[in-house]
Amino acid sequence: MSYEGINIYRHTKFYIFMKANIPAKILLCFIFLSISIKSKAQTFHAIILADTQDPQIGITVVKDLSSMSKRLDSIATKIGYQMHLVVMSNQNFNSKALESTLQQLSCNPDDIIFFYYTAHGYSPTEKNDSRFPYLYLKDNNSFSLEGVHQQFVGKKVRLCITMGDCCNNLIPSSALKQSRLITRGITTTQDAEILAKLFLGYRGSIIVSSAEKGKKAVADPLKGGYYTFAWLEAIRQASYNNVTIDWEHLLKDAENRLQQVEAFLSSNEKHSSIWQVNVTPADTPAPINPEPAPVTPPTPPVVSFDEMNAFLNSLANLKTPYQQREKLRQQKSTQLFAPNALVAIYIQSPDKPVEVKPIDEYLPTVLVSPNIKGFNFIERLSRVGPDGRYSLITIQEIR
Amino acid sequence: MKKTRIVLLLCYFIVGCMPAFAQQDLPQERLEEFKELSRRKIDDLLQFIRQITDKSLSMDQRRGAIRSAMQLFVATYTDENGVERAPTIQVSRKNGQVITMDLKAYFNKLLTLRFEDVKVSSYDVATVSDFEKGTDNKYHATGNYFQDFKGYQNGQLVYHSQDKKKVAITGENAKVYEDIGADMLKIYFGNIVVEETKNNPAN
Repeated sequence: MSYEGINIYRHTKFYIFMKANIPAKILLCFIFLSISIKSKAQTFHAIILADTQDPQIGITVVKDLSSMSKRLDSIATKIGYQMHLVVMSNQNFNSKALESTLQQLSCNPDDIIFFYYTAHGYSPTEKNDSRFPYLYLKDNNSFSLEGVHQQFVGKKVRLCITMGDCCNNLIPSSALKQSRLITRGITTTQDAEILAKLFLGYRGSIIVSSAEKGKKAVADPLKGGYYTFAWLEAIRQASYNNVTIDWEHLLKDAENRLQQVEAFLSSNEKHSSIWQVNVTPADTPAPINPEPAPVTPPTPPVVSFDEMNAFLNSLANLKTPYQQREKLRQQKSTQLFAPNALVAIYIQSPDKPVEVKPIDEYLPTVLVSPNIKGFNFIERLSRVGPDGRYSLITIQEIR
Repeated sequence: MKKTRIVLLLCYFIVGCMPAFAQQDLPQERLEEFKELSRRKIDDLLQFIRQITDKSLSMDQRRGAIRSAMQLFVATYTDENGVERAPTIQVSRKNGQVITMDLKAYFNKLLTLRFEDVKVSSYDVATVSDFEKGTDNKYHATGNYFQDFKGYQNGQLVYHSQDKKKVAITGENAKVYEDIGADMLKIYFGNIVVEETKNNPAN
């Protein structure tokens, strides 16, 4: 061994262990073993079943798979859990892989399971046992989302979440209708405490479906599933500034965002999510490797996503008289926007606006622009100042 | 001599590494977005004109439409003689004559037309040409809109004109703040001219 190698060796745990006396060795063994055991406990099992090879929706599913797996990994890290990711996609998207996972998944009582299904779904007309969809696994269509959820609940973990972004329409072989939506690589600034509240503050089970019974879910080749996108936005915002969030409110927020995203769709194409939350508050255990608390917590905005959207869309609503809308603009503008606030307007991509102008110049124009039917407000690309007022909003005009 | 060569080489290297001074051309896809933005602005312009002339609306709303319309245009520009000018608009008259007016004056005049009722609409879809980069490093295009103007008195149509108008459109690099600007253009309109006037049977 070289001189450098010997020096390195002398600093290794093995060297320390070999030089210790017998009682010390026993103690060291115990310590190493405990760390090993403890690191196996408190696992976040992310189980993803994704039909990435479907000719119609595969490209949207690939986006969902990427977005969700990254987000779940981030959540696990933030709450101090070890991540265990199981992905059943490509040629492993089938009932055998699902059955095998269900059988082999070994869990501890403090674990969390998050099962995410992104593929085709349907509601068999001959069955009326569940308002949640059935999974279209192609080789075997007898699995219902609720049935799979109950099998995961049977693992008796602290929190079990099942989410299906799929159709729930009443025709078993119907295709998933595609629409326009873009998945983004969402960079987050999650607050570990808020995520811990959601994922460690409750025990029980939650099941979510992106479409109610009889409806198809909508996806986009660029973004992925509309509901997945809406849910990711909701959890991002919740973890950013909503210290009082609970699962019911989170899922309601996701539903509101889904409706905003679907605003341009016809009424036949729109769908609503359904969910069932069966949780009770739990004593939150201290995470093993908690993220250090931020020194300066971010300032929450003075208005919610819904309120800002409602304000902007009210200004464009021609059914309301001009004078009333102008009064609303004058009353609300100073409450919502910092001095010299800007608005960024995009056409194709929110990251690449085509126009940026002072909000005080833009909003009066909205009142006299009948071509503008409404707005999509992109929260994550908007900026909030220290007083909670927006210094920049990013929007898309619906024309 | 050797030291001089080294210094010269270093200078050459440093200068060679400096970013090019000239602005890089925008990709076609991005220019298409600004073309769409320009088309929307032309549609908006016609809506503003419609509201300005609509006597059923409040004066506040009509003046609001004037302010919004003016924001579409450059405040002033420098002509070929170096004279600073405000944008103008050509207007066709009942006798077929085409006159040029100051744009702001035109909009204000629309507020006080002598017709009892005015209906302004579009008789064809607005179009915008592709943007091309000029020698001034700005992007230029032309837009067309098709204005149908009807004036009524005592419920009777007493004036009707259909004008195809051409709008000068300019896109100028606009670095708004640090993370937006590399490919951002500020779009504004210049002078409007009448390209074509159709017969107006009511006159």
